[in-house]
Amino acid sequence: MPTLSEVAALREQVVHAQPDVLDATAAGWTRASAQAAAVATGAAHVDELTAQSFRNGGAVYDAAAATAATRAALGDSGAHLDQVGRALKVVADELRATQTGVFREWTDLLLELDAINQQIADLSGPIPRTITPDPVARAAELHAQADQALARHGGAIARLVEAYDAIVVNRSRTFSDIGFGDPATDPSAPASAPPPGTPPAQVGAWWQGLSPQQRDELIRDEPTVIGNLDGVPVAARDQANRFSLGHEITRYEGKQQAIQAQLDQLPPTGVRQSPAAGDLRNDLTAQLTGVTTRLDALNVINARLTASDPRPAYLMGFQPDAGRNGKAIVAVGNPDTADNVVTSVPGTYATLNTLSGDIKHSEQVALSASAAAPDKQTAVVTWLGYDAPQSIPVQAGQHSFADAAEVPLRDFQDGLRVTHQGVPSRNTVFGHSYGSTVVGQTARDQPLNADALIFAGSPGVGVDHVEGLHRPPGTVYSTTSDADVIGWTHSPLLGVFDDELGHDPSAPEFGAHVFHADPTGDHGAYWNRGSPSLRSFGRIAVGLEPD
Amino acid sequence: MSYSVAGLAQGAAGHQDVAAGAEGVISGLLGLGIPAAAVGTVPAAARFGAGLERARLGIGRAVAAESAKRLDQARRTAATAQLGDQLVGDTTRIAQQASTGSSIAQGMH
Repeated sequence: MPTLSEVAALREQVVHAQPDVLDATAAGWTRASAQAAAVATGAAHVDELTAQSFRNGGAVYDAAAATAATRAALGDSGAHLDQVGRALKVVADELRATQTGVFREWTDLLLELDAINQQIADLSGPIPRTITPDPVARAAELHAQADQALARHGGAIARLVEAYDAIVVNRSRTFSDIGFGDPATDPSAPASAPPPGTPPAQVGAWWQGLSPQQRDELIRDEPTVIGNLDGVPVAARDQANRFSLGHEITRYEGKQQAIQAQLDQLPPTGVRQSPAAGDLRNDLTAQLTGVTTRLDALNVINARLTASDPRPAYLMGFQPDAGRNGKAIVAVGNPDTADNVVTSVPGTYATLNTLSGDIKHSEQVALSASAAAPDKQTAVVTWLGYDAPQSIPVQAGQHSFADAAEVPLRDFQDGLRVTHQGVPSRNTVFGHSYGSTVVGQTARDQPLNADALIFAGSPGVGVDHVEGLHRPPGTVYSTTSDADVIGWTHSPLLGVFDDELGHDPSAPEFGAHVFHADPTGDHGAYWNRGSPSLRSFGRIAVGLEPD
Repeated sequence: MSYSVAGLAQGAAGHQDVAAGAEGVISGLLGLGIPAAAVGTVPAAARFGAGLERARLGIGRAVAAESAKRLDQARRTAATAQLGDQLVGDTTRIAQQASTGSSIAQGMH
């Protein structure tokens, strides 16, 4: 049974720590990483220029070789700086969550003990205010309640601090792994994940070289890295991300409770209160709404992942704090074993909070593909691996959102090929609305690892003709409903997106294989059951021609 | 043969820039320590703090080595460029004194 002073000592271990300082320092390490990378790039350029100049002069002096070792070390330093920055950020986040939890448990404990003490004091006062048949037995009962409260809240605090300590231990291993620690004193140090930007093929080779124990340790210790690493098999990513999702749900539940507790302490509505209290209530209410919306969205994703469904779901990516609105990748069916894989990129207004609707669309495409080829397995991935625009027409008319999505989407498609088992799957990339801009631009700028592209309700795909997408003939499909307002953006009168995002890919002169959509369907009707567009999505996914 | 004196001079300046950039990274690293208590006083805190310091020193040493190497390369490359300038000047003068001077001189540029 812990004493109050023992619980207080545990609390002291985290209560004065400074997550904001860790965050600020983490940002500094990340900045230094970018700076080192830029210097390394400049160094490579200088070496090339200098070596060329020496060679032109007939000199035998190998200028590039002279700097190769230190330049490589500088490049490594950039990656190491980033690793340290990430380790600090994780510790800061965990610390903050731990402090919140410890604060809540400690406050609850003190309130409970105060209430019990008051009752004990009442029993022994000169004029008892309560009528108790057996004050001695009642006092013993109250002391037992106090012990239970100490055990309950003290235990919770101990577990929180212990879990945080384990995270600090794990992140300490980062320093050994980057080669500046002393691995000899830490034989349990697991393999470290490859640095960001490692090509998926290399990631796949690295993963294959790990022992099952090393893989398990990485999934446990680096879930946010492994879960989002293209080239790691789907099942491993899913396992890591489910851990992160559970953690995130707990974090948001804590946030929700903390805000609610603050609201409960304010004077009730309807009672006269100061303007400051009113402002605080409004602010807290807005915060509570935001937190509750996110929590609901996370729970919906979790429900789909844990549902007993003949087509199980896999969480292939989960970065709730990435970008402006969070990122996530959910597969319906396992892309590593499926015969056909569709990657579906949602468009404007897509966020982590709206992902459940996009997953439902993917379910519809999977069903349609099954209807088209009942003996084949088709997995459909909802890919929210980018920051989607959040306004029309201002953001949705800009290509910058698609620019930022190109590398992640290309790496994701490459990763699918790396981890797929057996005969290569037929891979299709589908873009709806601004998602089609993302897909088109990515294909325009470098080869995109896919057998077919589908655009639906597109504001433009970054080129004015299908030839600009560098695709084999007959592998680009497009549809736009006559009733879809997106068509206005290409009208001769408005044409607002044509200059910025490219010509309408559903126009005959673009050169794509155009297929039918319900002429009365709006911008969100392409997945409606029984619609010609949904039927065609499924047919194209399995390698058949659209209706 | 075309001795790229301008390229060497540019390369020397580039090495200087790289050295300056590396020094900038080191300057940044100097401010990236954390107070011991920032992670709290959990058992692993000391290990974490010590590891972070080792990483900072190790990376700092690697970047400093690159800076020193670049300054050395800048000196070597600048000296070669200077000699190249002199060589081109001398041989051009000699060539202009010879009967086939103009063609040789052109070849040196």
